[in-house]
Amino acid sequence: MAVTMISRREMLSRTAAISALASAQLAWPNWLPRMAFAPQGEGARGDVLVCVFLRGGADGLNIIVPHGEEFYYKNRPNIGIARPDDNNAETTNRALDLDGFFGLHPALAPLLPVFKSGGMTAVHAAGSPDPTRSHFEAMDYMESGTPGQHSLTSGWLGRHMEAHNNGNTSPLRAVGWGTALQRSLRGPISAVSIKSIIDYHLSGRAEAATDMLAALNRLYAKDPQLADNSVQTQEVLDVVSKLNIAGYKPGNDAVYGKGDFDLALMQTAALIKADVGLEIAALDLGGWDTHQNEAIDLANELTKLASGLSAFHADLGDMNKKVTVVVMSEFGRRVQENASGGTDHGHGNMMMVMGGNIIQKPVYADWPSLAPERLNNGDLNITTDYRDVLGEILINRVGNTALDKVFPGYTPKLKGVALKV
Amino acid sequence: MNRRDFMKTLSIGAGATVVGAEFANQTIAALAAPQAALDAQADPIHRALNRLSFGPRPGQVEAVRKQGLENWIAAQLDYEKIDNSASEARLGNYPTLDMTPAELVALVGKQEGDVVRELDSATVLRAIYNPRDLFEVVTLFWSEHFSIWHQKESDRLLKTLDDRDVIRANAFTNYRQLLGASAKSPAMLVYLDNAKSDLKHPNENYAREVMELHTITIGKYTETDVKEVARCFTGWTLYGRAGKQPGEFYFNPKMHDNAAKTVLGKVIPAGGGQQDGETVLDMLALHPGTAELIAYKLAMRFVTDTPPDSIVQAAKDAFLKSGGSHKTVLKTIFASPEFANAGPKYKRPYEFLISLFRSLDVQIDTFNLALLVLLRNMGHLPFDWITPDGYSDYAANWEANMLTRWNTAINALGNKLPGVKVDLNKIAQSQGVTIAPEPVINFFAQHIFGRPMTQDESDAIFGYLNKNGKVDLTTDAGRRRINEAIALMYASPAFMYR
Repeated sequence: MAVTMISRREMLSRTAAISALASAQLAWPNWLPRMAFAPQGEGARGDVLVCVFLRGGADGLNIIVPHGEEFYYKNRPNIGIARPDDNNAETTNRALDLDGFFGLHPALAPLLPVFKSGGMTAVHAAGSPDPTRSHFEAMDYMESGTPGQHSLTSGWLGRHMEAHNNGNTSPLRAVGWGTALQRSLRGPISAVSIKSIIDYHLSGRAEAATDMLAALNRLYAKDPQLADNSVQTQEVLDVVSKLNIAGYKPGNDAVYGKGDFDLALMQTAALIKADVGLEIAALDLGGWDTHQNEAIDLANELTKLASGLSAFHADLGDMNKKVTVVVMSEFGRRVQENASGGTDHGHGNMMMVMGGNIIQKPVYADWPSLAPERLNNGDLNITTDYRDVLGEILINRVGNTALDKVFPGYTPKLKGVALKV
Repeated sequence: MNRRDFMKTLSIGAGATVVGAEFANQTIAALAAPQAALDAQADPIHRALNRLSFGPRPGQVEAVRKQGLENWIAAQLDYEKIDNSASEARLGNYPTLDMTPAELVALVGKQEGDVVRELDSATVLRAIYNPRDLFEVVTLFWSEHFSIWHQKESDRLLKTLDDRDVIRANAFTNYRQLLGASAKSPAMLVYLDNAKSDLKHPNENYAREVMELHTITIGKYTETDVKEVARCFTGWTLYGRAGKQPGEFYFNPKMHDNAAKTVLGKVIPAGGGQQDGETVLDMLALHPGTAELIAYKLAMRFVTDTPPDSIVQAAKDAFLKSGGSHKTVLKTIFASPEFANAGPKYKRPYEFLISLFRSLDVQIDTFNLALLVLLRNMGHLPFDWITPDGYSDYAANWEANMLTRWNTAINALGNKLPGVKVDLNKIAQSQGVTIAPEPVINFFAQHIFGRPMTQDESDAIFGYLNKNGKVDLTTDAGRRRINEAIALMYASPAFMYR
């Protein structure tokens, strides 16, 4: 039997007809965002923002394939993805056409319908302008939101949360899925790092939990470094105990895979529907550093990406209008393949945006071309700063216009990718 | 971007953070008040053992105090004289640890999972039981510095060789030796793709990381240097399964780019063969940039997350003057005022778990793989970090996963960690503690925190212990209660620091 998550707003508008199940599950913690109590019709809450980081420098040119570009095939005689109409290639090895020039890597087939129906778009020749080809430096620049500078310890999402003062004090306002908090989420407002909500409970005797937590509360209260974490952990424990995430049934018969990425997305969907005040979710997918064996390794990673995102999209259904997913990677890879069946670190890349209010084109690109004279040290040039994409999402979809705090020293150019309603 | 800023970006990886002025000042100010005051009461031997070992075992603080800390350090540095046969005997069921390269390579496609598990298990068991305490801590340091991801292809097998013949064999030698062993390590050749690098298409991965992460760091070399260094290392490869000496390093002249190169301004003439790569390693190993990197990282590991210039310079000078001697640099750090006055350092998950096991003198008869799963859930399973920067040493990266630590403490004390037996009675008896609530709790306070409890800690712990009336240790419920109270002590903030 499916467990239905009923939004608090819905509950408010009902009178006697509140399902016993829901009222048994949902109490009213005192941090409930004011918006939940807002009368019908008052200011809409912004989209939930889901940030997916592909770690390792994902090969954008083989993901969103410029099959209309001759130089692509000249530079990648072995690992290039075949043209959609290339009869010499296996059907399963051909790019899935998006707009006559660009196509999808075939492993992203589950996402093709989403692209085609206007629910997803790729932004190409995008990225961070700093020339570094070091993973670690590039990730730091991208997640801090300050390419070229290492001086800030906070991340762009952390500063966004601080600037976006909407009165939401939910302990689950921002969730970093995994075992260590993403760099982008660091900041004065605590985000919580969770591997699995389903397992999120105190061990030991259930009847001892309250007393043990009270003792821990006392022990941590005076520790300046750890007190916030302790309070937040306890608040999350409190919220989770009132939900039944383990019993969550995805909407529209969506089927998630069993890997960490899929599970994180599923739990994100569950939290969104549970209306617990989630605004931001960050998650990672690793394994994109395809210096060799790219044909197989990239396909494997893309399969995981497609599985999670397509299930998430299906699961959300109508709620896609209130969620924006953005996918990015620290840099792209060299136009020319190397001798090991792979590619080395590059520069320009693709990003992806999924949501109910985005540009109705499968690919947005101010395409510089792959002609040798148009490259950046042999790499794809960048014509759309990644902060343009993120900034526009924050303004148009999330509702935060204080971008000078989020991306200090940079004014995002709005390209019309993420749209205001 | 200046050197110091880059130093602070070390060990970034997924989710890492930079400790710039912003955060450092915040942290130091935050620690100024209560924690530092508490710290002043802490037993210096307790603090030293938390740094120079993975954490004191019951009675170890007193034993070291009797021996004298300096004598203990000297004995630990002279590690080969310490008899570790008992702890090695625990690894009798792990035959792959001692296999030759050929034997390991023969296991491709067959028992790769077993080889991974044996090395992981052995690593954890050694960290807990090896009386060569300092050796284990230093081994972890080098292992993470020359980080290799276990799951990359044949590294599942080859990392066992690297752990034994590169890292452990050189924990206490000198940096050129360790660097050279790593450059030729079959596991590293596979991990950073140098094994496939040839003159037609040199692979830049190792060339970049050996400079960026292992030696001189960003800002000291150009992209051209990366390409030239890659050319120098072409031909540094290993024999495959069908080769003459399977799984072993060899230099293949047919793959090598023999033309002249220029690296960091130095011309390397044509025809050098394998010597090209050796020359590069010679240049890098004792470069001042390398000295500063190693000094900084060791100071981070042993002293503080944000080491002051004074200790970094002292360690760097020691490195350069001694030709990169690991022991000399370590001795300099251990003898420094910064080490003596070091404030608390947040434990990373692996350090938390091992210190918990050592403190509780756990009995592990058969190592249970659930412990490896636990480490993975804490985000700190050895050799499981995918990127070459290795696990971060910044506290800020590890603070968010609090619940797992609380649960581990509770489960350990409740004897619910598979394969791990805790016997508090045995500890109390061996340390001459009366089995009564106050003596037991107070003993554990000194043992766990290195000092008596504060009023708040005491109220919290005794408050829990006596919640349902004064605890009666002759009953099951009472014994369970004191176990839980001690679990709370291990879950409390003070045990999160070392």
